[in-house]
Amino acid sequence: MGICMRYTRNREDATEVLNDGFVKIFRNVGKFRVDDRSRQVLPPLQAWIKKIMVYTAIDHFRAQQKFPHLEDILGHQAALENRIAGPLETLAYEDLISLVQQLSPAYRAVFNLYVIEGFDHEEIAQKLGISSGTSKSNLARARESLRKKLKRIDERTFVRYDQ
Amino acid sequence: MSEPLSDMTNEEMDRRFREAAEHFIPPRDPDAWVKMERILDLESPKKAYRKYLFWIIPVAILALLAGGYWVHRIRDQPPAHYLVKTGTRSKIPSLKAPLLPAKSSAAKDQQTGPVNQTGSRSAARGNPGPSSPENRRSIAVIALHRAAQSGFPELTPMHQTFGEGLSVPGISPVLPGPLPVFSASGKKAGLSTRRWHLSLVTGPGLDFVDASLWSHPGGYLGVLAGYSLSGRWQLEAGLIYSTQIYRALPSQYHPKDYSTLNPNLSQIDASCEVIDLPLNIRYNVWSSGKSRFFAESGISSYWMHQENYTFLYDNAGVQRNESWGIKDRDDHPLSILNLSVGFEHQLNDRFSWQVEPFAKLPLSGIGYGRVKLISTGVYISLNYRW
Repeated sequence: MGICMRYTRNREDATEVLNDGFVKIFRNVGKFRVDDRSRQVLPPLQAWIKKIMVYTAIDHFRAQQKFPHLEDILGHQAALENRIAGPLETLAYEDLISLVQQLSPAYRAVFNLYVIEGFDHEEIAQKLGISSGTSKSNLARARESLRKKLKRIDERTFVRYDQ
Repeated sequence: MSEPLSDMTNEEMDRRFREAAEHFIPPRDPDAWVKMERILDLESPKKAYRKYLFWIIPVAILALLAGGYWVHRIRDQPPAHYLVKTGTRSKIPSLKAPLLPAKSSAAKDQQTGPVNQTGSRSAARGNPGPSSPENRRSIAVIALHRAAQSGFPELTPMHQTFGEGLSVPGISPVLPGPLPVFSASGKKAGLSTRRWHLSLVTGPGLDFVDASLWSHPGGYLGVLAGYSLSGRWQLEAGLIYSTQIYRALPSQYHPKDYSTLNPNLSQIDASCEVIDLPLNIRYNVWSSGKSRFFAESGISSYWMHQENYTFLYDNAGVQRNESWGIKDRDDHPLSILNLSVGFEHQLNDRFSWQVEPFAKLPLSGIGYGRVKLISTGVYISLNYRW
């Protein structure tokens, strides 16, 4: 579910990706093979499930590109800022993931694939059906967008500390 | 105070987000699991036998009951060589061995002569075998060898019906206990002849439009009243409350308010409370002792008390649900054909229980979606006669 949350804008969309991913797992579980030399089943199974979830999220991203919908980003952002304006100076994991969710779908997909999954721009371009240059550009804009969001949070946090 | 987050380098920011992704565990959502279970149900492989499962179950239950009753009946009947017929001495030779006490030579001397004598007399007369028409009027069954071995002194009235063939000097064949008595026709000895009956009915049921799309089992609870027209025919009517849970595809769903449905509609889950008003006629196919097998058919009218629907929409892989319900809006007179077979067992003169596998076939569309709903299940009833 954590993977699905990173690739989608909210919990509902993440649940849809999760469901689709589980259907794929259910259909293809017979194809899962463990290397004879490997004595453990769980790590390769987890990696296999993770891979399916990432690819399902990419499919979802492509479907969303065909049927775009409006996002209430401002409302979401305001809610987040109010929520994290607490006593802690650092953001929780949940809050960082929430920031990733606020990125536009194209930035979010590239940021996740490059920063979290570790793919290079050529691979990302192939998976998302975009050019390598677009992938690099989207990654830079994603970072810039995140930095701006973090800066806004910093300002609110420091204002609270100054008071 | 640490430095502001926005001043981090790209590498540091990436590291923080990777760490967050690795450790982030979203809270568990029970609804998500329910939704996923429903989707996985649809993905389950459609095995061929599942199509016929709901027909196989009632037939198997009935076959089991019939088999059990048959075994019970066979066990209660003594072996054929213990049968003694009135007006004949033909079975005497077969009784010879059991009638001879093993440890008494005196008794043996006394018995051997007359028995052999009787046996030869019977043979000389050319007495017909046990299957001849003369022997068909059987009225009693005894276990003669047990009687001879038990050595009870008195002769019960039942034994007086044996005839001359058993008048063996020194031997009084007696029974260790009461004997089962069968009527001349061998049936209906224990069945009530009261004409009216009231039945309390309950049981599980399964409803489906397509046998491969079944959802969860529903249930039935009701009261039926009946009147016996004759020994075999019986009329029955009443009221049965049922919960009918089924799943339908848009192609099977035809609400009269809409000529076309939303193209994204992928599935409809229904849970309906239905009042079933059946009018049936029963034919007692076979009866014996206190039990009978019957077949029943008739027509039902459905009154849809409460209809709850969940519509599942799928827009290019993006799914959403919409729930909706109506109350007391649809009724369907004479819209269902009832078919059933059953087994009834009399407990006493007034009470009996019965098991009745059934199928309800649609004669018209049911509910808001006017679906061709098929119902199967098993009625379990307690009957009171007067």
